[in-house]
Amino acid sequence: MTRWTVIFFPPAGENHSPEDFIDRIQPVAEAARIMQHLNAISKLSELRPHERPGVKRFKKIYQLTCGNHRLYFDTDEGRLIVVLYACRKRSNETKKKDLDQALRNLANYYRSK
Amino acid sequence: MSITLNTLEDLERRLRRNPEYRKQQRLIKPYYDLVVQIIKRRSELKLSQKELAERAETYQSRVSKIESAEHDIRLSTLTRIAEALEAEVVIKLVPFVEDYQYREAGNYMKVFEDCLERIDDNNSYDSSEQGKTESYRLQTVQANQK
Repeated sequence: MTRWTVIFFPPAGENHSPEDFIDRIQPVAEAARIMQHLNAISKLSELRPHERPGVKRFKKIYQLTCGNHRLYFDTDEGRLIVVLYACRKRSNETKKKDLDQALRNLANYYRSK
Repeated sequence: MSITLNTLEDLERRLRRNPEYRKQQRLIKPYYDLVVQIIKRRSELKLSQKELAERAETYQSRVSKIESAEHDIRLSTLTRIAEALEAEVVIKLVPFVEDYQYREAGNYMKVFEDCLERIDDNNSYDSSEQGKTESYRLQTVQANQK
C-alpha cells in the first residue's frame, strides 16, 4: 500500500508552525529522529493511526511522542497526516496549553481549506 | 482560500543541507527501517506484541521498545525476532556517497552560477556588439550591391 503524505499546518513563517519548530530543534539529532519517526508512521499505511509506534489518540487528535518532543496531528482525506503542533516534552503529563494550541490549529486548518 | 503546505519531503530537503543532520540521519535511519519492517511483518502474520515476544523468547515490553525505536537491539535478539516472524536478517554495509554527491551538487551550482554571470556579461556585451554586427552586415551587403 502507498504511504501517507505528511504535511505541516500552520505553514512555515506563521506562529506555532510545527515545520519551523522542527527546523530549529537543537541538537539536530533530535530533529533527525522526529523526521525518521514521521517517515515511519507514514509508511505504516495499513495500520490505523493510533496503532502506529509512539502514537496515541488524544481527544480529537493524535499525539506522537518522540524522544523529548511531542507532536500533535490529525488525518485528513487523501491519506494525509496533518502535523498541527510540535513542542518540547516538559513532563510525562500532556500540558493543556499545548493540546489547546493543537486544537486551535486544527480548527484553523479546516477553516483555511 | 487555498494555501500551499509543505510536505515532510520539503522539510527533509531543507534539513539535509546541514552535514551534521545528514550524519545523524545515517545513524538513526537503520533503527526506523527495522521498526517499519518488524511492524509490517507482525501485522501480516496477525501477531500481537505479546505473541511475538513469546515466539522470540523475550518480553512484550522489549518488543514495544524495539517498535518505538527506543531500544538498541542486540543482533541475537534481532535474529530471534526475525525467526519468530518467519523471516531472515540480511545485513548490508553500503559505502555512503552522500557527502560526495553534495559536494558535486555544490560544484554544479558554482558552475551554474558562473554560467549565469557569463550570460549576464555576454548580454551586456552582446547588446553593443549586436549593433556593430548588424551595421557590419549592412555595410557588406551595400558593398556587394555596388
